[in-house]
Amino acid sequence: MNKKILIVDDEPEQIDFASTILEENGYIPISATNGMDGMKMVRSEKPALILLDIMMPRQGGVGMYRELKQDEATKDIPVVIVTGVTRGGGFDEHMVTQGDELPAPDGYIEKPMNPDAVVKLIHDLLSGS
Amino acid sequence: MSKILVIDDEESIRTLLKVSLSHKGYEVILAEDGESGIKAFRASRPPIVITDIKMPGMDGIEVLKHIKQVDPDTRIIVITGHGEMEAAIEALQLEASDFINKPVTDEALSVALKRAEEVLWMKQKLRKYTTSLEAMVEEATQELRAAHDFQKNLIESSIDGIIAADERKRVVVFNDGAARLLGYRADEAIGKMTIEQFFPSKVARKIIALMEGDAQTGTERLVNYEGVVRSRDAEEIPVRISGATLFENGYANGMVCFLQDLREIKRLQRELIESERVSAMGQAVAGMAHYIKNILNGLQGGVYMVNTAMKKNKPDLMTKGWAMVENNIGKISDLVMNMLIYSKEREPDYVPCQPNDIAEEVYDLMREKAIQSRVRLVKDFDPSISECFLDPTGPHRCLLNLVANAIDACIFDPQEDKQWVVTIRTRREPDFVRFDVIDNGIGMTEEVRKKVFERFFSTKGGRGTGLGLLVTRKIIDEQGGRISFESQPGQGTTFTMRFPARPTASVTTGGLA
Repeated sequence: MNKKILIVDDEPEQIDFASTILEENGYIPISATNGMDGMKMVRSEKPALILLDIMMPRQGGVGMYRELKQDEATKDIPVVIVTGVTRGGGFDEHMVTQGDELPAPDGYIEKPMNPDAVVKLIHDLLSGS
Repeated sequence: MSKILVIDDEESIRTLLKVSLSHKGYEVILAEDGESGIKAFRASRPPIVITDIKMPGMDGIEVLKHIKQVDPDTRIIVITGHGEMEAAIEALQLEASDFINKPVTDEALSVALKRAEEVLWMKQKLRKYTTSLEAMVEEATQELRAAHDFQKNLIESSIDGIIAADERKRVVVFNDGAARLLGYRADEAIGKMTIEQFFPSKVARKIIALMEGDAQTGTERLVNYEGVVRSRDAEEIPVRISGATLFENGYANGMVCFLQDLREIKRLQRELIESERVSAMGQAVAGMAHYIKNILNGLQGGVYMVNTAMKKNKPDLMTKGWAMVENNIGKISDLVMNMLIYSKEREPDYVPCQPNDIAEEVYDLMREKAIQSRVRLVKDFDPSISECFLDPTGPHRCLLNLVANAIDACIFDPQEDKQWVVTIRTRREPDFVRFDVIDNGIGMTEEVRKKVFERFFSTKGGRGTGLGLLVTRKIIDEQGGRISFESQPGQGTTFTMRFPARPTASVTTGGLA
């Protein structure tokens, strides 16, 4: 079973934090700091799941999500959105799905990250598929 | 046809006159003595009466008196005999219109009648004229009254307070609006108070002076002046005042002023400001919470990594985690510093220092962040800058904020293939030390340029608090400096700060080292 998980985030600290959590829980973290590199990684490494920072500058997160969901080869890879915005305002959902043009993401993780919750969410998503 | 009454006791004269007058077109009534003459007069009211003076019984004078009593306008021609001049004079004194001597000639009669007719015609015309004049006066009066009522209604029903005063400033008009605004009844104000009494004394003097103005230049009016009135309860009420001096034949004979109650408007303004303040604070708090959450994430990440490193004995992870903790503690202290600077007034503490050293410190502090962000950080320091009196914490904090912004402007620039550069430049100017921070990042749109110094405005989402430039500006203001910027979208931004800097006394100008 493919346990590779791709972290796409422009902040190196966030990549380090997420990588440590994943490594400690038996996953293989790989990472990219922008959407373009992220898509290259998706195609070459075929990760089982993607942790995507939606708030990356230059629309990087939103653009990558769109590309993932519109490509037959990648649209079934579960995507967990990492966000600093408190959920409930509908802001993120709207931004991610482009107003229901795209399917909703498989999960959300809010910063500051709670390592146990992250692990449980990833575990549930991967065992369910 | 005009009637004429002939009173004479001599039948021959009556007959003669009847023939002659009928021939002239009169309807003739005859009477043979005074009594019957009066009776006939009362019955048919002829405008002209011809009467003999000397008659048995009631004589002509008596007849004259009677008729004049009944109708003073009646023209009465008396017929006098030889030697009756005195009676004739008496008759004229009693307002007989004419007299004819006996024997009555047709010519004399015609002249007398013509004169009588003329007078009658004149009188009639005069009467007609007088009557129509009265009607005209009545009509004009009614119009005037209507106009007056209209004006009065206009004044009375006006929502604004209207007060007019005579040349001694005594109140002559005080409408309902004024009564509502000021709390006095009209009957308490009119004739008993002066216009000055409705204003606090200082305001009154100013307003009266403005209304009186300068008659020469024609500025004797006051338009939309915002001031206050003083109500009966000594409340000072904000009003908009318009007023003017009134003139009659070139002389000032009073003044009028219109008072618009501004309490409601002021209340709404206060509410608006308050709601804006609350919403700005809400935005600020939300922005700050957001920013702090990011820091918290970094701290938790660092702690998690340190804990994991200790459990698994991984020194590399330990170093990384600890650096993360330190970095985020740095961010928190930066935030707290900015918050404190923003919230407190601070007297600058001027000490001798070297501006280039300040810039160098900032360069060292920001170099790591620049490298991580693929931005080249460049120093361009003016070597001729010598030591001078500055409060170094000011430029230090401001430069730190501006360089951090410049790097962010590069991070947010969507042109992926660009080589980003941020330059810290120092220059000596006659009375100032100038610091420039130049980037070739995303640049600002006009909308952003306008909002740059607004409270808690940020283009960085969760990565910014909107405090940086606010604090920078505040520090520069406190130190008597200046800040400006130029920016083009896609081209980059240059911020320029100037701090006033006296050279230290011991150092000679030039500072050529």
